[in-house]
Amino acid sequence: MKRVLALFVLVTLTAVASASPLDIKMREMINTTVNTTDVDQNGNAVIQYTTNVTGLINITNNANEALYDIWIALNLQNVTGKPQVYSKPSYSNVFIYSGTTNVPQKVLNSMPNSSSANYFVHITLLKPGDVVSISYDVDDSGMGIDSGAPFKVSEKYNVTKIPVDAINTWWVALNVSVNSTWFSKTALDFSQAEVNVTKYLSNDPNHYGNSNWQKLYLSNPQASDESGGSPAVTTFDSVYDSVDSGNSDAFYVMDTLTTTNTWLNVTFDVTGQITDVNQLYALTKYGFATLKFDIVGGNGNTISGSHILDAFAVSNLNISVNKSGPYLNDTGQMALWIGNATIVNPTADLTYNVTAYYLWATPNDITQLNTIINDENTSSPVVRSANPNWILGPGQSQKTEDLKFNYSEVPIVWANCTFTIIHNATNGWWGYENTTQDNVSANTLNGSSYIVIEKIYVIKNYLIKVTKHVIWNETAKAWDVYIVVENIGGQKSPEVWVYDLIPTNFSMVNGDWDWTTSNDADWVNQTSMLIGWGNTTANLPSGYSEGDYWHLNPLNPGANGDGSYTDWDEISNNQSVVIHYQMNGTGEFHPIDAFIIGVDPMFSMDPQTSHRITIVSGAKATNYEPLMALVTGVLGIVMVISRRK
Amino acid sequence: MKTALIAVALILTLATLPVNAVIVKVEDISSYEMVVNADSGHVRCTITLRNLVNNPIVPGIGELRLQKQEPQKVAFIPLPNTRVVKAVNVTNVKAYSGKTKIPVKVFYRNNYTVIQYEIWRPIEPKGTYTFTLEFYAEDLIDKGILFKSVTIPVGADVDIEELKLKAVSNWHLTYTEPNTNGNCWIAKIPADHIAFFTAEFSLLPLPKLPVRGYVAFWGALIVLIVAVTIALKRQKNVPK
Repeated sequence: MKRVLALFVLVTLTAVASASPLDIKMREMINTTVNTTDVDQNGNAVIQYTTNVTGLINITNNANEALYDIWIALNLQNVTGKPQVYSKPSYSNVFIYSGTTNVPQKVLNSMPNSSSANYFVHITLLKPGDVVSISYDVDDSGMGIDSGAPFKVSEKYNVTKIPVDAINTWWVALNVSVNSTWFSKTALDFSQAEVNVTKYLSNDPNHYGNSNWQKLYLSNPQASDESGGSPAVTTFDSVYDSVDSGNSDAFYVMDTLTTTNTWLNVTFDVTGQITDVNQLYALTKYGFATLKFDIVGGNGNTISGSHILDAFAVSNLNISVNKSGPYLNDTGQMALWIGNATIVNPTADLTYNVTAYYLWATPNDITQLNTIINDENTSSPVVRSANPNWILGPGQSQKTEDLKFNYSEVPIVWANCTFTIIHNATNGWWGYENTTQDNVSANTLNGSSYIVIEKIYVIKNYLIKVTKHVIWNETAKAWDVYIVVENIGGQKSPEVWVYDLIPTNFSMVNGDWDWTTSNDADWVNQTSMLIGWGNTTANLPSGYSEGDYWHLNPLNPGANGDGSYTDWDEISNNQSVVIHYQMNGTGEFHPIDAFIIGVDPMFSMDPQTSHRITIVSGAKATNYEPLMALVTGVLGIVMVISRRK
Repeated sequence: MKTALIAVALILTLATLPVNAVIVKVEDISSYEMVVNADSGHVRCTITLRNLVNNPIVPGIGELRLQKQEPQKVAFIPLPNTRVVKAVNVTNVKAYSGKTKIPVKVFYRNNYTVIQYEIWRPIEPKGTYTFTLEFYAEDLIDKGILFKSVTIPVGADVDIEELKLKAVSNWHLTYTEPNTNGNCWIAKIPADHIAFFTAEFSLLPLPKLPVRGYVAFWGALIVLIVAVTIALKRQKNVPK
């Protein structure tokens, strides 16, 4: 089986801002195996897809300070199993919880968007520049996306096979289209995709090439898309093609695919010459194409529908308590104390949200620090709290409201606060439900790459090409028909049968139909190549009045395939055979119908030609009844004779 | 059944098929029904050609090649471990598709027969074309005394998606190989492979047997004669 494995990984992404101090990237990677199994009867590469989507959440500290007590609230949809810690610094403790049981209330209070979270990630410490990665597996089969791909790729060639040794040029059409069926099964509501198609020719066996290529270059790359655009094609030098120099063996083209501009088509010609092929025929690699995408979804940017809901993290913060007193109170006693706290953000690049603070006073006794004193005038506990939601930028500070109370001794005033970095791409945390794009090359497939391996059948055996010319002959007042039969393969052909149909209201003229004399209209050159000719008028398709066939001797290999009927060297070498006749029309006739030709060998350039089907049957005699009857008779006679004796 | 892969079978010797035949399959036989009348030698082949590609195909000239292999005979007695291959004599050959008559020609080669037909009507992309080939070939019948059989090989240089091979007779069906419920065998034959089907009929009202009927019948008769002979001999030798 002609089986080559290609792998692509597609990463969805949107325009990504520069890194945030606490950078949380949810990245879903589509790993699709592209199994190019064949080139079918119509010149189409047969491609099979299997897809596996995995998710990776990278939590990166891009701040200048260490971050502590990081909590990430996640809503993971369409996943199988629990998320796992993929990687982390050795000093960092990372915990993954399902549900809120292990999440402190004040953390939950600071993450108001976490109510629909089904997983919480807790990182105790993350130093500047370090990353914690969490992975999860998307339920591809459950979503029904495991046997498809977000973009369909098809390749079509104008030939299905080429002969060895000869210099061949074949046309390739590479089509990339949005697979809306696949997207409809995902949570990502496809909006648009930036597509980059890069094509490399290759004679490097390690990069989808074959070292037997002696020439390999491309020409005429052109691109078009559904909206009528003609995206620019830029050629460059393929590092994988050492048998061609210059910028004629690779190109790239970029386009934006949308819901209304759903496909991009790139066509190009490949010229190649290959030698030293051992097999009679082989599906042979000659390069690859990579596709890169930036996908924008209208409903979030993950395939699974998973989201980063909220985050909580702290870093350095200064809180200082100010206490003054005692002052003269309303009752004339020196017992009035005033306390407050100043909260300072000392960081260079973080902005905090101070969600709560708490002030309280205790006796000045080391053994009673857990005792909140009561105001001596009101008997109420001396506490003050608030939820100010102060936003403190780098270097900014806020002072709390005053804690005033009556106490005849010297109290201790205490203060604490709850804070977290804000949800902000520049000075806080930011979640990206997508990711950046990795570089793509032929052997680094674990990135946003989609590799299409390109192959073509190389035939070492014979390969028959038939070309028909229909030319008006003013002198003869008739059409000259030349049928040029060439063996462009590497081995001698079997006998060849060539078929032709004469359109209705046409007839062959000016011939004697022996196909041997060269001074009339019907001849075969060389004549010695003709075994026989026959024609029929029965059972012809509509529009045709006569069917003809020529039975030819085997052709020698090595014709150049140009279809010329004046290539005397090839004709004399029996590499080409030219059949000629003249026809003329009467009444209303349609010369266009003359452009039809058939040839019977299995290895022919045209897939639509039929070879002569041979069915075998017959009989095999396996009945030895007469012999057994004879034996029986002899034994019977022996028995009778012996009985008489 | 001497199934399919008898590559050295007799018929392959006559098929000058290219090596490594079809790499790009453009057509196959989606249905091949062959009915052989073991009384008259009448054969009817109903063949459906199928276009596998997206272009019309003119099938052009096709062939049915027939050959018979049999043991050498002295008078009418076949000699075991001998083999003769020869062409099959055919008469009343005709081909048609519906009411359309298809031209056929018969050629007798050295040791095989060629029935050549011509189909000039294109088969549309993915379409089919069904035609029937009929002829009489008494050579296909392997006649005995109380039993007669047909052992028919079938193959082609394209895939036969569904082969239905049926042998009919006014006599009683006594044996088939492969074993079938009735007298019809259904199989799928890959390109360049040959499969054999054997059906045996008897003038005697015997049921269908797991072994060849003539072997069972004549073998039982031989055993009976030998047993009677021995019994009589013992009876004769008993002192009176």
